[in-house]
Parts: sequence; structure tokens; C-alpha cells
Amino acid sequence: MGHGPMDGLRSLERQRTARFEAQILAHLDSAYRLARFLLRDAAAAKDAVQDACVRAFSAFDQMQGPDARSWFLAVVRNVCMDLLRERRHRAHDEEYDDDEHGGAAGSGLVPPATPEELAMRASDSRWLREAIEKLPKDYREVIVLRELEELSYKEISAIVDIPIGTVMSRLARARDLLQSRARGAYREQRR
Amino acid sequence: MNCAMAVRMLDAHLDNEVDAATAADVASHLAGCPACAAAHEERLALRNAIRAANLREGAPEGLRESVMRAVRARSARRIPSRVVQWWQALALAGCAALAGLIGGWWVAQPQVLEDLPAIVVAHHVASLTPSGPRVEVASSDRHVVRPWFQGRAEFAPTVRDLKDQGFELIGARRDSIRGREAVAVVYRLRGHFISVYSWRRSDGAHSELDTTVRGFNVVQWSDRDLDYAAVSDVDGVELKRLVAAIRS
Repeated sequence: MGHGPMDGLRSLERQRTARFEAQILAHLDSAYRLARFLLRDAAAAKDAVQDACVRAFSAFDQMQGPDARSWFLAVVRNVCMDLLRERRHRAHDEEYDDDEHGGAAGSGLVPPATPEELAMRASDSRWLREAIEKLPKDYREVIVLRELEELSYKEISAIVDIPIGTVMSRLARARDLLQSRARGAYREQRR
Repeated sequence: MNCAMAVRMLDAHLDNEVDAATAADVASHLAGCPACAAAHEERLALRNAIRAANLREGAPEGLRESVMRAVRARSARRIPSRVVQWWQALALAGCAALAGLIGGWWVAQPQVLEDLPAIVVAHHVASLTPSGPRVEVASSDRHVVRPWFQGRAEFAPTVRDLKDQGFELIGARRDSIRGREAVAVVYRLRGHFISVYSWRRSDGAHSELDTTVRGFNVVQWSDRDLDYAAVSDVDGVELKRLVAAIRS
């Protein structure tokens, strides 16, 4: 093979693939964690991330730079939301029926529990993972993006496509719910 | 700062999302209020618990490899199987230039741009280049098109996947309608391009309206805080079908 225009194209594509690997796949772990917590299913999360990567690759030229991670996570989240919507169509998804209204955690001041109670549950990481997985989706995603990925409110607002004030109120509610469940679980254990 | 205010700022304070002055206010309130201090303690304990639980598992083994395989396969498909010959390119360019000249002459006939339909038609026509409509993000994937506007426009446009109804998503671009920031989402139906403009509403909702300007059909409507105008040379019935699908 000589040096025709095709060789130039091939080498451009190789460079593009390498850039994609460096800039987008660097966030593969974050993408998987987000998908895993949103879908609550390891196999589905793998497929969703792969799907999102191929979509992101097709549009990669238009999105680079410091916002690459937020953009990529937004693509991952969108793919997951579509899967969840499909799931809900197929069966009655039990997405929103867990105790959104339960627990002592209303708005405002939460009756203080001792930090020891929480520390008690903390030693049990499986319990904590399940507690997060049981949160309604809107609260689950902001907790995962904030506590696991340590993203700023601004980045979360861009990924979830909600105002910054809503990021703040959902985080507060998510933490209230986790705390009240930790307290509930602790009391149950002592009974 | 009172308790209600402190509680409201507790999470933002914990997440370092408040300015220095507010942080100082919250800290001084916590120092003097045992109830709020306990609530803050509990938040800290929860955060430490989550960090200690080490929930940051990595992607499973093999995912990276399988992603890269899929990406390379996609990449290979982007390389055309053959290169266009020079005379083919020349013939194509000639045709495009001729079409552009004729279209340009017709469109350039002087017009007074006063009403909205005329304005969106002018913008739509200006976006049509010989190589297709001008778009800043070119993708048939709405999951790619919508997030592209994050941080680039003051609102994100409605983007629908209407492939099964025959409307192919081409991409989107930013524009300005009567000095207001607008976004145009571009669809294609059988070779006809359709621009769907949206912008933040400034006054009352404008009434639903369809009209024809210089052979282009225009459908206007409002939804929540956005005004919309769809414009295309496609048949008026088809344009209304697209609008109905977008609004559904």
C-alpha cells in the first residue's frame, strides 16, 4: 500500500481513537458506578456504559476539554434513563414506591441521632450500599455524583439537567433519608 | 443567622459550595447552637461512613477492552471504502454551485423582515449551505445533541427521536431570533430540512399559527416558557405532523 489519501484518513482515525481513550475512557469507572447505581443491575450497567461510549465516540469531535467528564456522564445518564423508561413501560417498576414519605426525616431539623449510631452502620458497607440503592432515583443520583464522584453542584446540575438549587435540596433530602434509615436500622438491631 | 437558615445552608456548607462570608456565618451559628451542631455532626458522620464504606468500585474487568473493540469497529466504518475521483468531485461541486446560485437569487429578493414567520424563514434559508444545513453539533443521537448545549446556551432545547415517524435528527445550532438567544434543532424528512427554533419567551404566549412565507411553511406555538417556530419547505401537513410529535 502506498501513501494515498486513505492512509491519511486511517492515521487521523487512529489519533482520534487514542484521544477518545485518553479523555473519555479515563472516566470509565465513574460512568460504570453511575450506571450501576441508576440501573441497580451490573450486567445492564455494563451494556449501558458500552452503548454510551459508542454514542460519545460518534460525537466526540464536538466535545472536548475540561467539561468532557460531565458531558460523558450526561450521555451515560441519558442512556440509563431511557433503559429505566423502557423497563417501566414493560412492567410496573417499583421505582418510586419506596418510602419517600416514610421516616422521621421531614424538611427542616432532623432529630439528632448520635454519631455513634451512624458509625455503627458505617462499619457495614453492604448495608450502606443497599440504603443508597433503595433511595428514589432522583436522590440516588445526586448522592452518587456528590459523595462517590465528588463532583461540584455545578457539574451535577449539568449532568442531571436541573438547577443548582435543586441539586442542593435533593442532596439534603437524600441525606435526611439515609440518616433516618440508619437510625431505624440501628434500633431494629438493638431490639 | 437563625436555625432555619443554618439548616438550609447545612448541605451547601458541608459541600464547600458557599462563599467565605456565608461559611463563617454558618460556622459561628453552629458554635452557639447545639441542635444545629448535632445535625451537622450527623451529616459529617454520614459522609465519613460513605467514604469509609469504599463504594467506589471500578468498572468490571473486560469492560474497557470491549468498549475499545466497539469503538474501533465504529472508527473503521468512518473511513470511506473509496475516494471520490477528481472529475466526480468537480461535477458535484458544479451542480451545488448552480443550485446555490438559483436558490440564492430567489431568496435574495428584497423582503421586509417584520413579522416572525419571515424572520425564521430567513434564518432557516441562511442556514442551508450546498453541503447541507449548518449545524454546530451534528448527530442523529438526541442524547448527544441535548447535552451539547450545557454551558453553551441559556436553555436546553427539546430534542426528539422521531425516526420511526420518518423524521431524521440531523443536529442543532445556536442562532438569534429578534436579538434573543435561540436554538435550532434540525430534522430531515425525505431530503427536506426542517429547522425547529426555540427561545425564551419575553411576553405572553404567542398564539398557535401556521402560515406560508415565500414557499416555506411555518408553524408557531408556545410551551411552558419557550416559544417555538418550525420552518421548512416540506408539505404543510407533514410539518404539522412533526410539530404534533414534538409536542406529544
